[in-house]
Amino acid sequence: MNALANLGLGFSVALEPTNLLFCFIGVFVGTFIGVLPGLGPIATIALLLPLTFKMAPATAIIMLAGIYYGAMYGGSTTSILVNIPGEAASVVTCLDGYQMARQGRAGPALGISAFGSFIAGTFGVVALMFFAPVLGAAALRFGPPEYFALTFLGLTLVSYLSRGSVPRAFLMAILGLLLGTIGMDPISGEERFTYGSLTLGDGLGLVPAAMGLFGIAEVLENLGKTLRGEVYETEIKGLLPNRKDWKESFWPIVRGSIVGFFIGILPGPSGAMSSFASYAMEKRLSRHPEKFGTGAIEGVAGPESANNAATAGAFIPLLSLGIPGNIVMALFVGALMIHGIQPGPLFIRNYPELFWGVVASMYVGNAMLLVLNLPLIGIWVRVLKIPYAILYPLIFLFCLIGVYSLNNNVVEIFIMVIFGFIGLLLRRVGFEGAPFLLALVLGPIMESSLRQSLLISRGSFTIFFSRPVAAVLMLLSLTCLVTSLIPAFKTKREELAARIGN
Amino acid sequence: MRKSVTITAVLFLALALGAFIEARKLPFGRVSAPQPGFFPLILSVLLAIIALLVLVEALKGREEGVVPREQLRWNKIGLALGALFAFGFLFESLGYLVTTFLFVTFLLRAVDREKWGVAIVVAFSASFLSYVLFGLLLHTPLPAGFLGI
Repeated sequence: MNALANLGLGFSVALEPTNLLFCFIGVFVGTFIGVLPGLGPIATIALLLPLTFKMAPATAIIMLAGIYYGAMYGGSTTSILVNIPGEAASVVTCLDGYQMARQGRAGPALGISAFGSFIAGTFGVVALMFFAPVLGAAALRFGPPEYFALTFLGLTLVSYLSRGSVPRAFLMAILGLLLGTIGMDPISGEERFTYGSLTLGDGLGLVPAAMGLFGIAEVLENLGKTLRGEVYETEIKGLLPNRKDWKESFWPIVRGSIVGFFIGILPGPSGAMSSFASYAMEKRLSRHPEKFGTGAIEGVAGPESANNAATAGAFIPLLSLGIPGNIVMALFVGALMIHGIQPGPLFIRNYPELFWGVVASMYVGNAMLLVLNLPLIGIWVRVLKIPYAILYPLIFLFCLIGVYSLNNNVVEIFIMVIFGFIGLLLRRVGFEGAPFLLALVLGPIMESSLRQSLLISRGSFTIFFSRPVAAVLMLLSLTCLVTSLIPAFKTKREELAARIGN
Repeated sequence: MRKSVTITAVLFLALALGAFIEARKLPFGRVSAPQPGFFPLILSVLLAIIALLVLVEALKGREEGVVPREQLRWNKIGLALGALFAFGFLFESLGYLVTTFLFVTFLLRAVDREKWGVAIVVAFSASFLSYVLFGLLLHTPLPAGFLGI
């Protein structure tokens, strides 16, 4: 009953006119930038972050969360229509979604992904409602060894699943951890590696690095390419999936929701991971696996549901442990800290109206997306038809203003552009940006938890294996590490990673 | 491909060495009481070990997990990079509107060879509309520059 009372409190916050309005703005802007290639939720949230400083904390997070899951919706639209995933999480949607579009079934593909996302988003919100408080209570018993083990697992997973070889991904992760030590020491406050630079005194900015490695690098790469995806010229009619479609999609949506939510809890590239896991599972369970890749609706319904459920799951480590599982979550931490709110084990107890308000708003936002997306697909298609030559200067501009507006610091523009260039070069030789960025996010938490653990254990590393939760997490990481070196598993991993390709 | 991976690995090694030297200057503490230099030092050693691993892999000529990529037109990328840097240098002295107008015009004219008319119309509307959206509606602090606009 408590959950119901809490949800009531949540809806009373989410349905306030201001919050309703900003929820709408969030999901609308989110879908829009999800459709645009090279512009993701990171750049957008960075750009809108200063605006949220003047809002109430609940309103701010409601809008930013809307951008995040709205972008997931938008990303699938481009996957289906142009075969270009707007987001890493919708890479698998291309496989069957684009094939469906080519067979003239773009409508049902878009429709089922919208409905699947809605159902999964709803499931994710309900699950979040029940799990977050439980985990919040459990989180109070989390000590430094558990924090270290969890961040270690996150970095192992992102490296394990990245395209290219595991050693290269690890190299990028360690580089991220190393650059993450720039700035103030998390325990003693001593300055490290700043060399008198005021900009570096606060540490290497996450936003310039992320926008450089993803936004700028991607646009530069597209600019250098000659080929370009064409919008599939087809009349989109009949967005509503028929009875057969529903019958085929029902269980994939249910399974995708559950799997997606639990994968979402893990720090790391949970969106991409969950959509792939769902795809692989549906293909295995299907009575006609050979149809996958040729336009099977299950291949769209499952992954699309999974990545939306993962979005809800990703809030759990943030709100209950204070660990941001990805860059967007790290930006949420920034938005909360401005209002003097520290996410962590006490968050739900101390700010119930904020927590339940955001949860309820996600429910409202998912409903808005369903209503918004079905009739607006025509507009998104038109956005996709804007010539890239005109679009990319605007995307650059967006990134430039976004990074400048954070601290009004031109140096950060240069940091972003340099990261863009280096990111492009490294990408060309098979060194991916995702492990680097997650390491940059998790680095400070990892370092302080490692040092605190060693203080507690008086220098013995057995502390990570003698406590049950930490031990399980460490063993999971070590399993990934060991299997990536065994040849038989190696090819399997490469297939997996090539698909997820973060 | 093999050559570029080798070069990258060597660069990583050099970076690890640099980080090691710099980290040594910070207090290390003991394993039972780690100080600020502890984590960076461990990381620099790990970085070196894995960079060596990647180097050996590359020298042995193993091409695992490499996604073949099409050739890029680097001259276009170079021009765009130049424009981005120039934007950073001119932004605060010329002001938002002027810099943005020049930036978009340059990208459309020099990088993409659009017609002058198209370039100027797009650049003008992009700088004006983004100024209204960010500067006026969202109150993003945008530098005014010497012209005061």
